[in-house]
Amino acid sequence: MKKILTLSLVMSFGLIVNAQPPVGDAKPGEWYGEKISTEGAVSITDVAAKLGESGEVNTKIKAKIVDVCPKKGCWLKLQVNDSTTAMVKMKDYGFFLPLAAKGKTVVIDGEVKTKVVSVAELQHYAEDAKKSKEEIAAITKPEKEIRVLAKGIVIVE
Amino acid sequence: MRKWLVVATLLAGIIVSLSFINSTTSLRRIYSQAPDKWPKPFVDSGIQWNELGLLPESPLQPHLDSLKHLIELGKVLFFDPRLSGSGKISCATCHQPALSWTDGKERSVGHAGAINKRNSPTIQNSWFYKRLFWDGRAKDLEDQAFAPINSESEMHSDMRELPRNLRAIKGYAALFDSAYGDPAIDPDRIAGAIAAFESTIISRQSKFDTFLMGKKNALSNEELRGLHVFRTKAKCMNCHNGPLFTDNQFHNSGFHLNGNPENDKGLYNVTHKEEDIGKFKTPSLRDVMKTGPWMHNGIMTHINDIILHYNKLSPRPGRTDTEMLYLSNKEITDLTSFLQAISSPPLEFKPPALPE
Repeated sequence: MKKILTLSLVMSFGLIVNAQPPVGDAKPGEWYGEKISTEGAVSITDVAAKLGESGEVNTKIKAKIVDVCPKKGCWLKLQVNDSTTAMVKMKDYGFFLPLAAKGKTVVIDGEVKTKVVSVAELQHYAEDAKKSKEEIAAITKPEKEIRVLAKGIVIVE
Repeated sequence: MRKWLVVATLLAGIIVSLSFINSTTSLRRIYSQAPDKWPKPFVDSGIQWNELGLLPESPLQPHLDSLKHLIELGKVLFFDPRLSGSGKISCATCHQPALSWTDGKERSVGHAGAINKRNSPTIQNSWFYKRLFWDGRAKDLEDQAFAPINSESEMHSDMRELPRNLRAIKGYAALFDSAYGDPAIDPDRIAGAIAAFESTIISRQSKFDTFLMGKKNALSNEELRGLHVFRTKAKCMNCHNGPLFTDNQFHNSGFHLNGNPENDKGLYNVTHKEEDIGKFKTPSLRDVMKTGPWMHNGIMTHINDIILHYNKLSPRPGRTDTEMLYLSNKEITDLTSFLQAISSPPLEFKPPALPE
């Protein structure tokens, strides 16, 4: 009972300070952050292959967005290859992308880094994502993660 | 004939000196009425304005009891430097209670001494804004809270990793449990609690509020004349209107080209509309004398310089010409006195004990 009461109070606060995802269509040509050209953009797969275990490079990458942080548009996930994704954060948190950007191909100008994510970290992320115990236990190998700090993003298609 | 002349001169002299003495007295009489009977403010045509008024309470005021634990959690998170990548920067680093919840700096200093782009605004009355940040890129306080935590140049943390770091601090489980009904920690709960706490932070009552509540001598003659100048000749109410002295809109008041190595385009960064270049959020003027240095980039260190800036360029949103206000030195002094009368020294605020 106490739980229900507390939850309903918290929800009523949510109504007072209402949160919404950023709106927008994310049509081709729309841009966020610094205005950048798409010229000279390299596929993220190629960049990732060149970077190796712990590289860092400033470049323009072309990639497909597979996920947008659902509530605040605060990060993006890009497809690198079948088994790898890249996390994108926005420089200075100076701009946000709308949810509609999910599934779009974009060119991003920014800093690309690789980081090895430990088994413990991966398991914690899986826990946060409410994965089952079996799924969490199945994580046994560290993963290479690509991180992008974006200055500017433009929707290509 | 000469007698008449002397009498006339004397009479004229008396009338002139009486009207001089009485101008402040009659102003006091006029402004002692309810605000809806005050003279109409000088605003440009097409401006939507609200009359100045009593300091509004926090929207959470009626719920302070029921939301006690949520607000308490938000307060702890707000003051906890372990929310940052370095473990040294908390929200309160740039929003210090003793400095009216600002940092007193031109531009805020973030991770590893990084100088950020803009001035850290007070969180007082921030519940009122329809959009957060100087450029309005966040829709609400929860949305806003994500940004400094995540930003590599501010708190240099990561909202994905933060819940795990907080879980490692045993005391947080109980705090989240009492706030939300179970001990789960996730980014939305973190931001929600911080937003709830921030929504409770408002200005203190000012002399102007005491005056509005019927104490007609609460404002000095200077302050009273300043109120009149504020509402009329200085045209401040073109943007700074309503009980919180802000229209909740964005305007270009000619500061975007100054002081910043990169020309900061403000609202344009969010909307990409050309007419929005150089527009920034109208800040509340409540406690303005305690929240300097001023403007989005903190380049103004003397309030007089800001008034002089507007004296030369009439503060009209979307101004295309350079109409002057012709404020006299006395009017400028009176205006500054009024700004003092809507500013109160910060209350002593005891930071919470942080969980182990």
